[in-house]
Amino acid sequence: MTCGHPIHPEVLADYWLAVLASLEEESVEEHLLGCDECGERLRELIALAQGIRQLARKGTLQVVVSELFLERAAQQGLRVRQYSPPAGGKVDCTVTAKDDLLIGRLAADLTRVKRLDMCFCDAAGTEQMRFRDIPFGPARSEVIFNYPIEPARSLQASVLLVKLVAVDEQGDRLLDQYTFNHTPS
Amino acid sequence: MGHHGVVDPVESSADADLVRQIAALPPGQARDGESELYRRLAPRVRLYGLRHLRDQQAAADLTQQVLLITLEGLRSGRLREPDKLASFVLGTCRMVVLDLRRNAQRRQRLLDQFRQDLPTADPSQTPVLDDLALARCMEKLAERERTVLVMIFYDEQTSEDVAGFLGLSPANIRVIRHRALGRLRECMS
Repeated sequence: MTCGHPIHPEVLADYWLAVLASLEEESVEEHLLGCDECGERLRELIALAQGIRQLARKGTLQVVVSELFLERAAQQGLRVRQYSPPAGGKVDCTVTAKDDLLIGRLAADLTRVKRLDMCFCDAAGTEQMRFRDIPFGPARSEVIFNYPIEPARSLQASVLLVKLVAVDEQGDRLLDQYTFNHTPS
Repeated sequence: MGHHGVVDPVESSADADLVRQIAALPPGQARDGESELYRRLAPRVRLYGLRHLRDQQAAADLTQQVLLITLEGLRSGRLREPDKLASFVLGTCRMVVLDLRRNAQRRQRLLDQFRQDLPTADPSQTPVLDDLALARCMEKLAERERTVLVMIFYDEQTSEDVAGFLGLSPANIRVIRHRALGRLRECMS
């Protein structure tokens, strides 16, 4: 049976996130109690939301995160391993089976940066992977990223050089670089 | 009230017809009709429960109680207007959520008393996605989109909070969220 007045996906997401005004929420709920098609789409949205939450909890994603993310992870009892190499400097690092999240913290002055790319390079500085236009917080002084923990667990001793690069009309401008010297636990 | 709030007339009239059929028979004599109504309503009520209780088991308990009260309302003639079934069920959902939060013991007694009379449990569950496939689809998103989805669905931050973190407007965050979810759906399908 096809719904004649399907709920807009944005409204469904707002409903699931509990941010609708009460009157609008009421009308959405009344609709959902009479409409299986919209209910199915809400079910799909819930599955996506739950899947994203699980991936984040398992540390699976390569993703820029916030301080709040780390606080929430700690509240949930997750074990967070963090490394903060100084700009232009190095840090020795590892990961153990007990760790849940592996976090890198890169301090940098981002005040005049329009677009920021993060590049993963080998020990010689050759770019292997570039994350384009990464978000950074309002303080513009640090990038916090979650490194996928499963691949990290299977790494041999290796060096990861991370570069923060400002990008504008003039091209790339290296802001800082950070060296992670990894040894298996 | 937006147009999305309109109760779908085709679906609701089918529900209303069923309610009329049940109401036309003596109380307790419309077993097939009641089972069919249960089958239709259970997944919808469960969604309400998931949204408000954020817990599968609590949502299942809510579903049983709401449908018990709804069927009882039908048998006793308290649901006088079949076209208002959704409103009746919504009102019942609200009442039961309040009750669930207030009175856990009474809930258990009611469930124990009537559990055998209820049709089989609602088989519809939220689908569980393939983690690997979802991770691959997340990797394909723009960096900003991935961060927004994680902040919203893991951190449970509002668009305003995320906007503050990213230096964007809340409206921008909603657009990014909408686009990212659309891409994820497409990728997963």
